[in-house]
Amino acid sequence: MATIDLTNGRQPEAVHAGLNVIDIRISLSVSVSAGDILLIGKLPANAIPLDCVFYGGTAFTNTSLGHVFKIGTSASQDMFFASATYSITNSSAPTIRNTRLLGTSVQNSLSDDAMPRYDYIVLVNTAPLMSVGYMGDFILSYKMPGQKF
Amino acid sequence: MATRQLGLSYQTGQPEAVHAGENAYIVRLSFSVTVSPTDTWNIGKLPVNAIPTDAIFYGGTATGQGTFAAKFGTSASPSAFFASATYSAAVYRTTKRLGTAAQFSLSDDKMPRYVNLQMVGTAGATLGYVGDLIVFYKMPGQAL
Repeated sequence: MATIDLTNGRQPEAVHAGLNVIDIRISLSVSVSAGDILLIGKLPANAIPLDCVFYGGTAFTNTSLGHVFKIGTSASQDMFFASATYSITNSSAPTIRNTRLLGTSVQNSLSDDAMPRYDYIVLVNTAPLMSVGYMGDFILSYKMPGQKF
Repeated sequence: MATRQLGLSYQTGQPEAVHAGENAYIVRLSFSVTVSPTDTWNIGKLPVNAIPTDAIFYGGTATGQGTFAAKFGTSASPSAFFASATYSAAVYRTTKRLGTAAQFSLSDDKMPRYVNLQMVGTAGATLGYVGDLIVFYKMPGQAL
């Protein structure tokens, strides 16, 4: 079990007018073990997640065994996608849409930095089946507090 | 039957109308007074000429959620986003045809500034956190 940072130190977008979208390309050059935590992106402090989708990639569809993982934040690792087997044999795969209750009730209120700047978006591999290669894109739309919030 | 306003959500300024990229309007439907059937609630504002692109409703945990029914839309089309139904604590994606055919061309202000976003109760009563309504929209820009 290891924690692997894929974010390269960048800060997330936090535009306070309009909608923000982060598109995270998950492409692995080394195999991932069960329990490994991948820090795949950053969500700004106070951001309100509105919707998300996962588009499986070419490595994702290389096996019919399925991939077992969850995606969320460091404080809530299954906020966006619960731990489950996502497989090309699943009728909804490789496009997986959010079924979680997002919105103001899950506004990001914690920080993984000393300053309240961001919370990590994490992918946790929960079974040893994750392939090497292009796993897919995780896309999250969020809004920063603006006129109303 | 009454027409009411949802506190800060409705009374706070004009809606965002950024002409580059996409806009999103979030309404947290949390009521401290009982919502009765046939009440019309002005829950927010959407800019005139905005083109709705998508809508999601995340159901909440309010009292009477299993029997309270409502529809969500605009003052000109009260079920523009969600038809009358009961909504539990689940994810509801719109099945309405949005896009340019649903572009807002009317105004609830004397100046063409905004159209009211509305929730109309149709059965039962409720109190508390009904849910979050999110409307995605685009302002006419490069292409439209």
